[in-house]
Amino acid sequence: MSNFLPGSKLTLHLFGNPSPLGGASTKLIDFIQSFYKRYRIINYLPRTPPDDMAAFLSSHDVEIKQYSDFPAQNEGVCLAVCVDKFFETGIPQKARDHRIPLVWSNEMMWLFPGEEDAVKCGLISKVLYLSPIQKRVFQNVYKSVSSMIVDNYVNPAYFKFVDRGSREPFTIGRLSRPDPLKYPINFPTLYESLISKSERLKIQSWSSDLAAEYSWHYFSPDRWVLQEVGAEPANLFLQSIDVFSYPLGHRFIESWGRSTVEAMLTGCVPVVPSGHHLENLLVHGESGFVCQNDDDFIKWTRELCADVSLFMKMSRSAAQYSRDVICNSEANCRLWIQALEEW
Amino acid sequence: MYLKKPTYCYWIVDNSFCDSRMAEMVTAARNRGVNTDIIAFSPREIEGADTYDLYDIDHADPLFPLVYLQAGLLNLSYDVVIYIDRTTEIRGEIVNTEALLNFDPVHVPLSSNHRSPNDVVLERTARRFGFNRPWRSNLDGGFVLRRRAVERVVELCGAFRKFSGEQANFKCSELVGSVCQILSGDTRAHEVQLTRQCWDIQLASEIDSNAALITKI
Repeated sequence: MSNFLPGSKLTLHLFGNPSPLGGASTKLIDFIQSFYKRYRIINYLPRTPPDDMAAFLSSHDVEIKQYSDFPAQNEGVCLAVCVDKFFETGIPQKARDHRIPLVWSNEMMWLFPGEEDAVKCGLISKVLYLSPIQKRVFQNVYKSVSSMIVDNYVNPAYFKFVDRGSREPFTIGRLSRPDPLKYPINFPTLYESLISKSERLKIQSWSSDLAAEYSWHYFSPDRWVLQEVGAEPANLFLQSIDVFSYPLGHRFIESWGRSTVEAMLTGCVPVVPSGHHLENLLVHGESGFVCQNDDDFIKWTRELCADVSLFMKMSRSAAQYSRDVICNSEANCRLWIQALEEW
Repeated sequence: MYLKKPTYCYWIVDNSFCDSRMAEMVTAARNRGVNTDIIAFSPREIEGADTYDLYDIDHADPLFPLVYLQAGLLNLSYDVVIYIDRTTEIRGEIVNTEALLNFDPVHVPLSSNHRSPNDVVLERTARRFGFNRPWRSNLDGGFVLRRRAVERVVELCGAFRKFSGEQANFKCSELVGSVCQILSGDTRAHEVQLTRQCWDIQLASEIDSNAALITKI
């Protein structure tokens, strides 16, 4: 199917909230920057966006509409990315009624309410997976639906490499949503075991939920810097830490790992758990470390703390690998075009 | 929080109505010059300890010592509690409880050279909590618990027992030892070989009886 004339812009009905917070939201910012010249993008939002986002959308010729306005144009393609309660809005049914194909990207490792029913009713024309690990989780649900894997893309221009030199204090940290599921049961004690003397532990994002979860531990201000969502822009935060140590809760599976790549671009050395897509984002021992268990986290992080030359070498290697191999803009654009234009 | 040296006490629950072993242990400790507070729950006054009445609870439940700790710590101000059982002897003051705890919420002497039948079940259950390291067996007798962690440890002990299946008959120290492992940053720090300055433990392989945890300087 090709429902737009040569020379005209394909109308893209975009559902999802572009924002610098969270993997899926950040992905939409990069998507809009890459494709606003190719597509006429209409972003349907449940509420008025904050001023900075409205300005961003406007500067990229994105039209902002409410859900009730859908479809503002009776043609094009509908793309929905990780939209909470999307299948309860009636939008997928409307898209089908107007013969607008719906492309859906879940982004998480669990189904949204109504998602499975939407598949059974034939409301989803194509499903996009982030990674093979995500595909494995969902492929039985989506066996009757056209699918493809569209990797994330991170814009290296926003996450500039910073040569760490010999600055003090050496800092171990992580950047993620403040979701207790993303944190292991022994998070504070494991993190403290990563360091041996004067190193610092820096976390974004922290929340009252996490504070309650770990109220059994005393977070000494001598060691810990706990920051709320958005306390620092992601790039500045990542440039301020040296090792990106990312132990995860046992009930959580990372479908891609955007913050790990962002960290690598800035020169952080990633230390990540196995069993997630994360292990496909680096080369163990060269551009980071993949840990089989908590003891590995301690071993590799302490080694990086103790050996400056090893750290510096891996820092440069992580940045180069993420820039050259993971963040390939042209390859990513080709995938999106295939996803949205080839039927 | 810990600008001052953390305060600690020993904690015993003497639920035997016809056994004077706990009273003799306290007397022996005082005779050796141990000045640390000893909190005792007992049906009779124990000389040398602050004695409180036993609670009206089921002492057949292996987790009964945790009921005392949870309730008692609400009314007392110690930062750290050293729970000792009937097989333990206090031989001297513990100088540095923080070194034992190693920033963790609870310390139980662990060993990788010793494995009881219950360890198979406990290890399997620990995996359900995301535990992914080599399993270490706990050595029966006592544990060191941080006051601020008591509720979390009690909650996890209950969950641990539930997930392990009702047929399993665990000792309190086995459950606390399991929780120690899943909450620890570095479980190796609780190996008995590294904490010999406080726990002088004779393993069952070294002696004839199933005793004995002995704390000493």
